[in-house]
Amino acid sequence: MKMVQFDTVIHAPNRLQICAFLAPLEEAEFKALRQALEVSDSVLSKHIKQLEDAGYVKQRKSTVDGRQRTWASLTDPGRAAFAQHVAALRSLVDSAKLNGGDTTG
Amino acid sequence: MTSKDESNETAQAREALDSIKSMERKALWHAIPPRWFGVALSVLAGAMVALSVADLRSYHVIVIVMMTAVLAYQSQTAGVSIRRVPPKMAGLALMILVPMFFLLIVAAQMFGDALGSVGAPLLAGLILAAIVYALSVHERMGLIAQIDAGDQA
Repeated sequence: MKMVQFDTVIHAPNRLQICAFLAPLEEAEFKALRQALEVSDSVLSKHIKQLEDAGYVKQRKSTVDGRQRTWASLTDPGRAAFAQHVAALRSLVDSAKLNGGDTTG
Repeated sequence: MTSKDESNETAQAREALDSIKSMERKALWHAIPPRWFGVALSVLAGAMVALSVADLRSYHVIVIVMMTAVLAYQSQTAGVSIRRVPPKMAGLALMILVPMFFLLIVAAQMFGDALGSVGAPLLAGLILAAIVYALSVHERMGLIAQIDAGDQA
């Protein structure tokens, strides 16, 4: 089987889910992301920060009715890295199918 | 790498792909505009035409302010904004709406005598409202179809 290259930043399940949620969107509010991932604020913040440090996600703050809201979006390098990661996952699954060792897909 | 390791890796990859699909689906569900949004926009667009036909253009500013408020409220409450607005569909919607707006005003003014000073603006407003509502339903259906297509993939 050929070796596929995964993005170590995106590979963690929560960060992968964050990227997957943001992929079809222009941006998403922190609250919507937290609800979708079903994680606490601190866990989400930690993962967003790691993605932001890698240059994959950018954050924007806005104030509505005196309350601060945070919006997150994938950057262009983030989109490219996510697409590459998904392609690597697909190629792994596809090669397993081709090798005949996997019939569940 | 043993075949057991490979099998585990493949299972994990498949799990990750399922998780990606599920999150993309959740994101698209968040992005579907609510029904009230389509209704509100269609009523306001209809009101805009009706006011123009009735020569009450000074009230346009109220409709524009209300439209802005509706758009702002929707974008704030949705919590997400969709990325892929199909440019073809947006262009098509504009190509239908803009000429239709002026066409309805001209037609209603032309048939004003036959339809009456109340009937003509009302009819023109109702026609545009119906078109805008149909477009909003089409957008909702498009997103739902996109989600369904993802489920079947």
